[in-house]
Amino acid sequence: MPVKSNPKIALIGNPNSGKSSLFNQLTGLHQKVGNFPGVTIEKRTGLCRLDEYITAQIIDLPGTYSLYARCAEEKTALEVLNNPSSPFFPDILVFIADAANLKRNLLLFSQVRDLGIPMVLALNMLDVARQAGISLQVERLQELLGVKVIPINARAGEGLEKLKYVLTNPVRRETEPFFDVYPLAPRALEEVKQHFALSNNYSAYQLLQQGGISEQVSADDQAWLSSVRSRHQFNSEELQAKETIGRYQHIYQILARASRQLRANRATQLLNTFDAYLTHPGWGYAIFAGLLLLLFQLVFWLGNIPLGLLDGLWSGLTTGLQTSLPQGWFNSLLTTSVLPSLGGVLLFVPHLVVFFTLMALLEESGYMTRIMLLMDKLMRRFGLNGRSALPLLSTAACSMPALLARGSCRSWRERSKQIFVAPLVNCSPRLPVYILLIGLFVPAGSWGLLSVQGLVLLAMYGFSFVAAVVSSWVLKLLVRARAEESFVMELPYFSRPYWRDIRHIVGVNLTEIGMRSLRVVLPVSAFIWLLLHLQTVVVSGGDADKAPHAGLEPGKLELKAELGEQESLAGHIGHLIAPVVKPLGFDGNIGLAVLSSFAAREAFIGSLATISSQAPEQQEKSLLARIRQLYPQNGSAIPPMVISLLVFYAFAMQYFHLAGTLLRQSPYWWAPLLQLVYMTGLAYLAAYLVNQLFS
Amino acid sequence: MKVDHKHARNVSDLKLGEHAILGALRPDSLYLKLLEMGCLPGTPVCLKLPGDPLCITVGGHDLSLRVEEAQCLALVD
Repeated sequence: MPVKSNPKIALIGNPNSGKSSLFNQLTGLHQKVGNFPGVTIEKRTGLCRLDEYITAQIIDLPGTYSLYARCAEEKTALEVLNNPSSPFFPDILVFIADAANLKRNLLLFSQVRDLGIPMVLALNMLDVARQAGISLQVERLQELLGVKVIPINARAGEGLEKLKYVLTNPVRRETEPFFDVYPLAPRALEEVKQHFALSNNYSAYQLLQQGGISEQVSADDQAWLSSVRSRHQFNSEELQAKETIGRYQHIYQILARASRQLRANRATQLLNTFDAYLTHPGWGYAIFAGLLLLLFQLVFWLGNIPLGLLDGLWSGLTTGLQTSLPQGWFNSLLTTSVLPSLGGVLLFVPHLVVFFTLMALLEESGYMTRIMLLMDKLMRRFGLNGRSALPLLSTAACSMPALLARGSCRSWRERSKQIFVAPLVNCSPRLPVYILLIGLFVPAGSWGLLSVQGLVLLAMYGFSFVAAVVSSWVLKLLVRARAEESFVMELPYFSRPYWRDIRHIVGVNLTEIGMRSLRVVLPVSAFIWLLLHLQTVVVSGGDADKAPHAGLEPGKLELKAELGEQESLAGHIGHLIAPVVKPLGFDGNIGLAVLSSFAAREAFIGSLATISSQAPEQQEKSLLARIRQLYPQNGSAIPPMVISLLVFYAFAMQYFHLAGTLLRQSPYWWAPLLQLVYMTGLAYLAAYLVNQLFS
Repeated sequence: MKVDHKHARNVSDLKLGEHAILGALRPDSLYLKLLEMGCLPGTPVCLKLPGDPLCITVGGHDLSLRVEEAQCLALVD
């Protein structure tokens, strides 16, 4: 076909084949995230300049293993590709395949190819394949598959120029099907082709197979398709099995001619032996616990090194500004709220860098899949699937909005599982908050060689893991949710992590925390400052300053630069909160900070920094010393309040910054609210119990 | 008719490192998924990690599945 000046190019491939990396490489920063119409599946599109004259629109289709849909994401790919009138219907398809796993990748490839859209094959991860001892002959493959094959390295960005060049030239449309479905149901196919005016056999065949669940087929047509199926005894399952086997037979023949299995190199063989230990029911857990221990120790060992220096610098900056700027409310706002609250997060950036780097290393090496396997041994006793452990272990962002959005087409049982169990398991960014809280509140002593802070982090990690498992188990019993999906999954080869990817993960996470500090922590801290500086003045009494409980009567508000904490609006709010949080071991100040942290967990630290910076005698101390003064300390012991605070944050669901997305994407407006109430209740209860236990 | 279970070995009966050939699949809900994952009749299979979930090497890649899922995969004698 001729090349248009702005062709639409869709990327398709199996999950984890490097599709997102390729998309990022092709589009750079020119990305748009939206939804596919009718479904809330995230749709990413972007622009890519192929050469001087041609700029392509790149569409990232959701990753799938086959065109046969099991969930909404998988359905999307077929809905787009089998519907030439779709606004996303591509002119050219780029199929991205994982060379180390080519056999399985080619199944989807062959299905997509038979839909008759011009396509090229981008062969990714050849280095991983080579490591695993697979040698591929690209020329041979190209000839046998009947499409252009371009070796690329999506992570490193290699081979993209060649890919772009190929895309600027006309791509041949293959007429000969990879696997001919016509003999499977000739008469039914003829009828469908005539009815829908189709020329492609596989398009018609897919309509027969899956037209019934398609949103693009009208109800009349669906009924008609169903009558065709029964008239011609079209047995969907049996035919799908025949088709899959037939496709694989062809794939096996092709790969037998185009690839050779060499002996895996020594490193891979060694790792395979190692695999037996990593997933061993005894050794496996020991190794995992050991790795986590080391990881959490490193976070504090390395992170605490620049802590004193950063604290000194930041406090110096704050004091310097305080004395050089003219006195007044602006000075006060800047030096007792804005700077301390940002500093509270900033001091722990080194800790977070170490943490995200090490976590990303674990994730990128392929170790996490072994952990899922290991966890399944443990969690299935509670009727849970080892796969659901992954979000607890990864750096993945809070996936609640996406999960709630997928609530359509499910039974109420699964829906209630999503609402009640998912927030326990799937909102993972608890660890960074633990790191901040522990760094602030737990004395930096050591216990032999081990840092106490690192041990507390490990304990909290274990606690939130157990809490998540147990509470989802209880809820599962209550709502009697159906058993989770099967555990059949692929165990990828170990691979050498790329620094570029590690840097990317660290960067994304730090940026997110940074943005949250600016967008949420800063305004919240400023608001707390305002509360601390507002005094309620009784109009009638005249002598307002002497009225001890002025806030209880209606009066007018007055902003003051210097104000005792007790007389301020914040002080009154603190008084109101104090009885509620007393059972948890918090005082009014901590209660106020906890309340403010419903905006985002980090806001807790900003608020504390603001509260602790107000009194003039405090301002001589460094930021850390100020915040640490807020709770009773006795030597190196960990105060019970800190433990109950940490436990509170294990449950409390504080992502108000996501509230907009949640309310927009959730099919029911009450679901996020219900979650909030229920999780806060759980957090309160747990913190109460812990406080009773330790004090 | 009673099925003679002694002679119908399946993947969960494999010993560590043992090689075998996959036979017919038991048609149930997992049938199509396992087929798509490359567990075709006639494919060589090898037990890579024992236990539950176990891990097999089939068709050039590693697949982990639970024992009851592995029981859907019969072996050729």
